[in-house]
Amino acid sequence: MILLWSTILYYVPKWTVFAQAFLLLLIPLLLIPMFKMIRKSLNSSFSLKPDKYSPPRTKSPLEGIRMTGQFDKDVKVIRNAIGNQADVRFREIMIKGTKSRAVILYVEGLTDIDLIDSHILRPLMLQGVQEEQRNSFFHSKNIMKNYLTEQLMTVSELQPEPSLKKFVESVLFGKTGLIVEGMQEALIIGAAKGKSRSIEDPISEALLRGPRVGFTERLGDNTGLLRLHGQNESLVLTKFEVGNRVKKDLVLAYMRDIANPKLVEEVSSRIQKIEIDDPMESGYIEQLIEDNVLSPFQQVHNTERPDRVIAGLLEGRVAILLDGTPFALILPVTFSMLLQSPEDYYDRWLPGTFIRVLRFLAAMLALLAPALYISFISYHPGLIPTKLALSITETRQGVPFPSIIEALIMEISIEILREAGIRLPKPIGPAMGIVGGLIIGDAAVNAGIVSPFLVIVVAVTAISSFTIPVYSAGITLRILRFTGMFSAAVLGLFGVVLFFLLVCSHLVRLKSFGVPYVSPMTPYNISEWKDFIIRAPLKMMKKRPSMLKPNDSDRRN
Amino acid sequence: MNRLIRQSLRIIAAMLLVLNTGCWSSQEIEDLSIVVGLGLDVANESKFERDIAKQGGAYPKRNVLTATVQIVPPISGRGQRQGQGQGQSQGGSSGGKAYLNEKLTGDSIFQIYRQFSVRRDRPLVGHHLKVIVVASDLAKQYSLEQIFDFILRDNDIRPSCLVVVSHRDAIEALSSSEPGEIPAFYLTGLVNNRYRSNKILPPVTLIKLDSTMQSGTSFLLQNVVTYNGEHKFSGAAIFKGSSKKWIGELTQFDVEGLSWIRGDIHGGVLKAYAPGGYTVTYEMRDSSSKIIPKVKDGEISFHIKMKSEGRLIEDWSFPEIPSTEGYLKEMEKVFEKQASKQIDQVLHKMQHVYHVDVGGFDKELQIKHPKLWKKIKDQWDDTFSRIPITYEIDIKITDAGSSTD
Amino acid sequence: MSSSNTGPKENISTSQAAVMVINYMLGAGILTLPRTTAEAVRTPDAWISIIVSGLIVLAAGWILVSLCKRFQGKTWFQFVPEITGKWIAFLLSLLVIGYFMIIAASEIRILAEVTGLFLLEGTPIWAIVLPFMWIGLYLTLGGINCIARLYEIILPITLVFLVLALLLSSKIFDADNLKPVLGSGIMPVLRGIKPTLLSFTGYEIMLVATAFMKFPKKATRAVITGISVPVVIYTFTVVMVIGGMSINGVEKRTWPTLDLMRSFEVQGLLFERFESLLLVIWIMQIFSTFTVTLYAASLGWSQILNRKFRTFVFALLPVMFLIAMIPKDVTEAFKLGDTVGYASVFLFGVIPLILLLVSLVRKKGAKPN
Repeated sequence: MILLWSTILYYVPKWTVFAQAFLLLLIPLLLIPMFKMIRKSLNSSFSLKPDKYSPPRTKSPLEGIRMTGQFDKDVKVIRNAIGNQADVRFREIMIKGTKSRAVILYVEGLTDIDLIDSHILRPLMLQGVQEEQRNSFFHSKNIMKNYLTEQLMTVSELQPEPSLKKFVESVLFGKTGLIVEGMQEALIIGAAKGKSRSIEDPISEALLRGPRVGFTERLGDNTGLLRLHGQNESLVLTKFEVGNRVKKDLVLAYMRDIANPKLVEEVSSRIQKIEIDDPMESGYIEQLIEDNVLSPFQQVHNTERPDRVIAGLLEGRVAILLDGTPFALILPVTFSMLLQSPEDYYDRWLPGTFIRVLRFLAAMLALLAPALYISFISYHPGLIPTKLALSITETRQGVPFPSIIEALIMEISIEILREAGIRLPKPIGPAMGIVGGLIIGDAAVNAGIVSPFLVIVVAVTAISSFTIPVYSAGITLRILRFTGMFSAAVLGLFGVVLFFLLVCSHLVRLKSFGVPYVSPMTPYNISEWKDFIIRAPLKMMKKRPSMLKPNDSDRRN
Repeated sequence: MNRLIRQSLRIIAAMLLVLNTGCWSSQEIEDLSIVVGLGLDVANESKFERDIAKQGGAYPKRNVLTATVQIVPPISGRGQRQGQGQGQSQGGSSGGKAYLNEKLTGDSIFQIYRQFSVRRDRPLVGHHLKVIVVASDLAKQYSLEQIFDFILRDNDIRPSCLVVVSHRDAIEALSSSEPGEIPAFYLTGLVNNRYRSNKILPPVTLIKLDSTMQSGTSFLLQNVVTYNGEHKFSGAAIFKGSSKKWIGELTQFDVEGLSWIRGDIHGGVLKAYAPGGYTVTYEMRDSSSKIIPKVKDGEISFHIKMKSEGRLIEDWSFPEIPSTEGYLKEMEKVFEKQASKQIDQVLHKMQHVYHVDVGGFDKELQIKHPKLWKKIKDQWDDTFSRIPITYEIDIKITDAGSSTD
Repeated sequence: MSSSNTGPKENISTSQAAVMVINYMLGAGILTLPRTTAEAVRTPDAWISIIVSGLIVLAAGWILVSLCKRFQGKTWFQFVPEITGKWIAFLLSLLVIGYFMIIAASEIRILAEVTGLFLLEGTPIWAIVLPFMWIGLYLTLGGINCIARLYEIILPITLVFLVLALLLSSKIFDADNLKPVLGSGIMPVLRGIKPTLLSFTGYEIMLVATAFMKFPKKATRAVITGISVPVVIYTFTVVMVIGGMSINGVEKRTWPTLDLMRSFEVQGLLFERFESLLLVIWIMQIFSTFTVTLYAASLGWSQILNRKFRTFVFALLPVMFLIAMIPKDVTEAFKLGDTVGYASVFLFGVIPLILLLVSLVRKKGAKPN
């Protein structure tokens, strides 16, 4: 009995082991509530409680006031409501042939002056009311309106508006307003004609082959581009209004008979929950509707290319277009999309496949190369070829830092350079690149701060990360790369493997609008892999991806 | 919110605690001495060690062997001064050398290894050890099992490391007079020339050495002969299976004969004298051999069938004899005779001089007659020397090179 | 019992079930199997032992799955009470849970030992094990679906790297090392079956996985694929290791497969040394074995005690760590692994057969078709 007891005692671990076991339990127990709290606080600040605004919004003084028909009074009210807006012009005229005064309101810079001159002022002032019809004007007030709209004004967009509030809003938005003495409705004429770009090749997603078309800042143009892509009855464009203070139009686009209705429903319900003063850019929308705020991976895909949007819609995805930005959102996102470019499909399948494999390789390099460098240099000199080990030893003589510091110096300078390159004016950008890349790198090597081998590693990493076709995915990899470097610095190659496993664990747990992020990779499905790392010949890709549960899975339809 | 901040601060503190203790085994590559060669000699204390001992720097040990480590690169600048200050490299001062040899004496290889760390600021690492040279004198006194025990147990030294025997001191084999040459790489590089010469044995790596020693058969190791900082692979050292000690050497000529028996010629030369007295040379392209064990009434005998194809590459006949078919046939006979000479000699040495089987006969017997082998395997070397061996050799000259006359 | 699963019932596909079995089986065995078999067999026929025991395991797996298929949508912990009654079932479930826990613990310990020896000499064990277990925890909390998906990611990497590394070792492969075939008769082969069976533990995950399968009818196919792939891989590994190092060389090496990789260098081929490849995939495989056993053990506790699954995932972590720390050295760690291995032969070879017979006699459960 005593013997048994002493054997048991012999095998009971020391107290340090118990302390470690306690730590093992404690840290995740602490971390998980923290993440939960962060998530909760993020959720509560937006969207989920739609009826609680922090400052109560003031009501417009015009709320509920209608046009009276008394010219001086209406104009005065409007003048007061608009206040001292410097850019609102009032042009008072007299309609020829009647004694009615009229005023034209417009915002300078937003309104088409030509339209006002030739299609409003000219007919009103020169043509006016014909003599034979003058008498009838004294009988009815509506006749004036009908005459103006039906016989006088040669404009297509014309709308009577009785509410003063809406009238003022429209004028401020760039439409032309016309108030005529005696009429109880104001007329809103024409559309806002803000300055907009012409359609250009998108800068952020350059292609060698493919349409040279990118979205612009105007929603109307963008939806038009989608319609223009080809005759297609199933394309549905649903309009939403988002923004509480600044209202913006948002269009949800999908293919009626392809997209899964549950997905469409989910997305529209998330859009309706958005509560924000002004969604400046589609990035706002993206961040307000994504699933996991703490994930480094984007769960909504942004693009400037209409062809990419259409391709997404045809796979059964859903797109969101917002007024005022050329970036459309495609969702849900799967990991494979981040490394695909429309060009893969435009080229023949062999080059497409080759480039795709290259991109996967480059993504791996961009993610792991510096981490592997650190782990081999600092932990496992025995795992690299002898001659390489020798030359590294020689070149690293006199480098005063451990490899992690060395790599951090170079990586951070590269990141700074890259950021600086984007901000700089175009003519200076390349010069900056040369100064940074060549001169600093060379000088750093000569000064003995870093080893030439590391410069190669960093350069390869940087170039690799440029091959990622989606800019925001590139940034994700850049962030993760630093995590990888730290884990390599702490645990060597083992740390790198753990880092890889962590990233994979996160990826398999991540979902974008109910679709697993790693979808085409797993579960195994040969027919899905035709469009993953390889890009099979188009004739083989007869099915739409099943992960999105499309209504119509046959691509040939 | 305040609670959140406090809690996250606490967690960050805990994380830092963990991270701070990190980097236990981190060791930058340039702070290590990469050992590429290891030489093992009979004890021979250097002047440095005797001097140190006089100053009281000795530790209790018997002088059994001297280990030489070859370190590359000899650190330029700082490292060079250090190397010269202690001036231990036997192959001259380290000026112009691409390597640094250091030696220490003792009776435990591991202790000697660790003794280097009280001498050098950069600890030795064995990951890149390429070649181990054992002096024949040491191998005569101690069994290879004893000498290699630490090396086989160590987890840094890779089993892919090459093992050779030096006729003279191992440190000589690890020295070179040619500037820029690293002897350890030179030795490993020579092995790759097997496609050019059948005088080079198939390389014996640590793992092969280990498994051969475990199986208890006698074996050969490549022999290196040296002169004044230059070396050459020549012949082979024979180790007895039972004792794992050095018992003798085979000459280059013997090794050629052995390569016929083993049939693993990747390329080589056979020179003979034609009946007319002039030199003719045959280049082997391909060869194969088959050792056929025969057992009749408990009596074992071996028959070896050897075949080779190649070309007539050199012919000193004067006046020139055109290489007709008949002439080539005649030459084939000449070459066969010469090869037989080599084979006879090596068989004689194996069976009657050293009484060991290093030709792979045991393996064939084991494969064909496993039951019989079990019975006789313990006294195989003795049995082997009494077994009759016959052979036939068939050399075929397939072409006469680019010029036919 | 639905409270034990968070959210809607998860589904795994047939291929995912097979992949789980493969990943679970390919564990610590890759590195040690050649030695354990060579020690027992002592002739170059070790690879035949592997195939034979692979066939035995296939039969055992088939029996086990036939049992599971009778109770669709239920795990071992849920259906055993129907066959045997509450108390015996409780005992059996405890045995299975304990088995999963010890397997997880011994895998962790072996991971720590190998990593400490070849990658991180001098790093304390806890520093190696703790982050590893945390990541395992993070994955396991995601449920069986996430686990299966991760396995599907690492399996191709494992297969490609392993086959590549083994093919490269053909540089030192010598077919003579594998001869003579059956030179000493059939007896050595039979002696080798016992240790090799231990390396083939892993099909028992079907006790849990069958319940989650989308098409439980295909569970047999899953388990057969799941067992055949490791059998092929293990056979290939043993053939290459013995061919490269000869039976005498293998016997005395603690980690023979790793030593095989260290026994050759391919100059000019970027890496030159390939043990890093092997170690990388091996760590991933240990990770998969660890997570799946952690998942199964936690699920077992949560189902027999009818509590939340998450609680047990957390609670089991320190327990597994403590079990892993009990062996004083690597030999004892091996012994621990062997002991549970033998237990597995009994637990998952004999008991399912008995239960299957009992359930057939007492007409419990549904017919599979």
